[in-house]
Formats: sequence, C-alpha cells, structure tokens
Amino acid sequence: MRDALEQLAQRGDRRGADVVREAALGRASRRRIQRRAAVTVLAVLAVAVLTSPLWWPARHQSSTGVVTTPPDIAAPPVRSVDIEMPLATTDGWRPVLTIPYGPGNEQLGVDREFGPPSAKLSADSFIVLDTNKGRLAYYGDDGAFTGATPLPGGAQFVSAVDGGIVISGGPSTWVLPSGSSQWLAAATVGPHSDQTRVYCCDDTSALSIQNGRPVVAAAQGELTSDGRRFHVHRDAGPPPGEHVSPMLEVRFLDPQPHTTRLNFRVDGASAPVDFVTDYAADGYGNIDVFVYGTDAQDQLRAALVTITQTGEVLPVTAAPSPFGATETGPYHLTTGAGDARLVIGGASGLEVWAPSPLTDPAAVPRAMDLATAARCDTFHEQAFTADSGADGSPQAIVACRIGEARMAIEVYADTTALEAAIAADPRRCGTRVIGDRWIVHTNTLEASTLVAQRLGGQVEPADNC
Amino acid sequence: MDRGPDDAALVQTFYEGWRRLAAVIAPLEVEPDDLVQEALARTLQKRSLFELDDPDRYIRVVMVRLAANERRHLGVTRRWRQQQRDTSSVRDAYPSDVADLCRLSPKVRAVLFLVEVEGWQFAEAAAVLGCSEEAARARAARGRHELRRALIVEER
Repeated sequence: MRDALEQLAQRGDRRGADVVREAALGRASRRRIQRRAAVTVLAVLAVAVLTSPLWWPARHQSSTGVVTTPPDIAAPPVRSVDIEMPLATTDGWRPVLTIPYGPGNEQLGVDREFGPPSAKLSADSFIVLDTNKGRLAYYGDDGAFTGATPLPGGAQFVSAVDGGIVISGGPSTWVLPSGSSQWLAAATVGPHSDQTRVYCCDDTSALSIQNGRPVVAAAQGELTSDGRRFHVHRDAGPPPGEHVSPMLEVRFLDPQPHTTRLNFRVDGASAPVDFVTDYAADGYGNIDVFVYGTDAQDQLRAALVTITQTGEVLPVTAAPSPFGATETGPYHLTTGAGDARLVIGGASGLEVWAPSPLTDPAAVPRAMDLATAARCDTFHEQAFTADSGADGSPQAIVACRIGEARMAIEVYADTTALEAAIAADPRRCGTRVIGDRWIVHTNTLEASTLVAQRLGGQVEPADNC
Repeated sequence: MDRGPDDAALVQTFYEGWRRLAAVIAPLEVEPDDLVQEALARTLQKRSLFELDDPDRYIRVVMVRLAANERRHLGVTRRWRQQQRDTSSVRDAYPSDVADLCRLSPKVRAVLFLVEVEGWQFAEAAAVLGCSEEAARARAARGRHELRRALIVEER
C-alpha cells in the first residue's frame, strides 16, 4: 500500500511552484474583481429599492397633505426555520424493496462507490437508470425484474411522465414513448440547466409530438402533486471550498409567492458542509426534503423534512443514512402515490425504504393475514403505495392473486378512514368487498364473491365503469 | 498590498508537500497542480498566506475539501465519460493496486498517505481532515480494510 501511495504521489506533470502560484494569483485577482462587481451591482440595486417610494413607503405625504399608509411590500415573505439534524436511524422505517447488485440480467450493475445515478417510481414500477449495464431497468412493486431498455450514452437522470419515460444528461434529452422500445432525441422548450434540475422535469414536463419529434416542455420550477409550482434553491453562496450550503430554500410560486428557508443545525450550531440534500413532491401536495451527512464527530445524521404549501414545516423525521453502506450514496428521494421513499445504495443492493405506518405498525401484518385467510395463490405488499393512513388513504395494501383474479387488499386505520375511502373512490372499476376496516378490490364479481365467502364482508359491484 | 514576494517564498517552501498530497487525494481526472492552484487561488482571493497562522495546514485543509467535493461532482460525469469511452479509462493506465487505492474516498486516502507515507501522527492528520483523532483512525482502518478486501477479490 505504501508503494502504491508513493506512486500516486508522484503522478502528473509538474509545473513548479512559481507557475502554480502565478496562475493562482491571476485566478484570485479575477475572482476578486468579479466579486466586487457583483457587490457593486447589489449595492446599487439595494439603494434603488430602499429609496423607491413604491418599495419603501414607510409613510409619505400625499399632494393633499394627508399622511397615507404604505401599500403592501411586494417582496414575498420568507419563513426561516432551524432544523436540528437528528442522528440517522432506521427506527420508524422499513425496507420495502431490495434490488440486488450482480451480473445477472435481473440484477443491477455494481458500482460500489456511487450506485445507480437515478431512480424513479412510476405508477406501478420502479425504474432504475442502470448506467453500469447501459440500460433502464424496470422492477415491479414486489421487486421482480420486469424488463430493460438499452440506454443512449450520457444518460444521468430519469423521469416518469405521462406518455413515457424521459431521460436526460448534459444538454441532451431523450424520450421513450409508452409502448415503444425506441429512444427518440427530444427537443426541449423552456429553461434548460443542469443546475436547476428543471430539465429533468420530474413533475413539470409535458410530452408532446411536434412535426414528428417529441418535445419536452420544461417549466421554471416543478409541480406539487396538485399542480402548484415550486422551486428549490440549494446553493446560495456556499463558502469557498465548500460544496453544499447548510441551507435550503423552497420557493412556492403559486398562488402567492412565499419562501421557506431551512437552516440545518447540529446541536444549535450551523451544520457542517458535508450535508447533502435531495427533494421530491409527495402525493399529499407537500415537498419532502431528504438531508443527510456527518457531523463534526463523524456521527451519521439524516432527516426527512416535509414542507406544506403554506410554508409550514412539519415535525422532522429521523431517517436512515446512505453513509456507511457506501461512501457517498446514492441518495435519492422519490415518491409514489403517497409518502416519500428513500432509495439507498446498500452493501448488496439498491434498497427502497418507506416510513413505517404512522398510525398502526400492525397494518401490514394485518393485510398479510387477510391475504392468507383469503387463500391467495401469491401475495405481496405493494411497496409504492401510500401507507400513512392520512386523508383516508390505506395504511397498507397487499396485492393478491387467486387463479386469474387479481385483487388489492387495503387496510384502514378506523371506520372514519374506511368511509372516507369508500366515498372518495368513485373512479375505480371492478368490484369490491368491504369489511371491518378493510376493502378488497377485485376485477370480477366472481372474485369478490369468493373473497366474501372466505373473509366475510359485503360485496359491492361497481356501477360507474 | 504587495503579497507577492512573501507568498512566493511560502509557496516555494510548501509546494512539494502540497503537490504530493494533491496527487494522492485528487481524482485521477484532475491534475495535482490544478488542485494546488485552486486551493491557493481560493485562499489568496481573501488573504495573503502570511496572514495565516499555519499556511501549510490551511492549504492542505482546503485541498482535502476541494478533492472531496470534486469527487462528488465527478460521480456523475465520470459515469458519463465511461459510457463514452469504456475501453480507455483513466484508471486503466495505473496498476491495479493504485486503481484500488483510487476507489477510496479522498479523506481516507489523505489519512493513509499522511500517516503511512509522510509519517504524521493521527492527531495532525485529523486536523487537516477536520475530524477527531478517533475518526481519522477509523477512516484509516476502513481504508486498509477496503484495500485488503480488494486484494482478496483480485487474488481469487
């Protein structure tokens, strides 16, 4: 090892101390000038804003001599919240899926350092940008490999959108329309930057075909699950030599602009620079932010922070940390229909972690028991569905198969949540069986009747398909 | 303010050590002198080296941070490059033990280099890494373990 280190220490072309110092002085000088220019521009802007009566009308005299009150200041309000970073933990979380690394077709390419660069949940599948094997790999919500599509070179991010899959990398964007196996180079409309993430269009891209060519419309900002625009700003002036600012801003653009600023802290002090963030819009209209890193004592810290559209920060949840399994991640936050899912590169595979049911940790076992009692041929928990029990959504869902019949067994927190779900579910086709805090959705009346015989409950045929 | 001559003498004094550390901790895609130069530029942008209590250590700290950040940044671009030229990896130009070394994080490489080759104490290396002495020891142990594991895999 010592020889290898020495060999490494000798590598590269040697320019000499004077050349390096002269170049550094030149670079430092240019940056000082740029910084001064920026400060000057900011100062001029600040003076203009502060002296303008429109922007700083503390009180002024009108032409009639009457003292008037100032109009509202136009600057959007900023809510600043200190986030005390908790120690990383797997308590309150559970792995719902592990895709193993390995040479097999159904396994992911091994990259001990970084893992797959991007992963995304779509409605019913887990899509992984498996650059190590040069493909986009698809998995079902039971972890079963369902297929793969070869990737064009340079892909870095994957997004699932209505109408297909979008991947991007550098200045290029490709589209795989639904039902096709052919990637198409896409034109993009709107701002395009590898810094602001708009081009990967997690939730804002609209896919269309114009003159035979796919066009991805990238909007400024991203969208919450109910269509409100927001923008996340992470790198607001990190100190020189530091990678990540210990601060993150979520800027809501609709309907009234406002900002929530998160200041990450450890024991009350500003957090160290190693903290890294990822974010995603969850299924409840909120923004979830995943933050992790190590503190000065090298203890792992990780948190999931949820910000509502009013800018309120919900209680922070301690989260598992990707550090330890690998040095630098991967660290993805993605969302399905409901809660956030953490995608973490484990030692032997890519792991998807979900928050455990908040209202009842026994919900998943109960759904499994129902599947057993219904004598399902095969069953598994649906890993991507909501499980918080919020807003009438189920705490757990288990997919079950009896012969050709497919069904979903949903477990609810209480009768109120069950009734809310019954009332709010007019869109689903098929039939259902309603029992004590559970619903089994099936695709045939015969299957519902069979389930009712085995579990009890009342069969409800669908009347709106 | 004339910083030149004073800084020049300091750079001359410490350059060799900085360059050796830079060569060890920088990603292979980055020239060691570029890392030294960037660390110097960021420092000189604010102050002369003579204004620092310990310019040698200060520049080393900046270099370690830059290397760690550069590595994160390169995580994505490196994969892209590998897609573009999968047969001509920069790593392939080096013997396998050096390539194994490069798979370790810059901070782990730094502590191994400073302690094993330069003969520093763990406490001194920890000061450069910005961590406790115990954490530096843990990093070195982790690095040795990783290297040993890589060697075992290769021997098989």
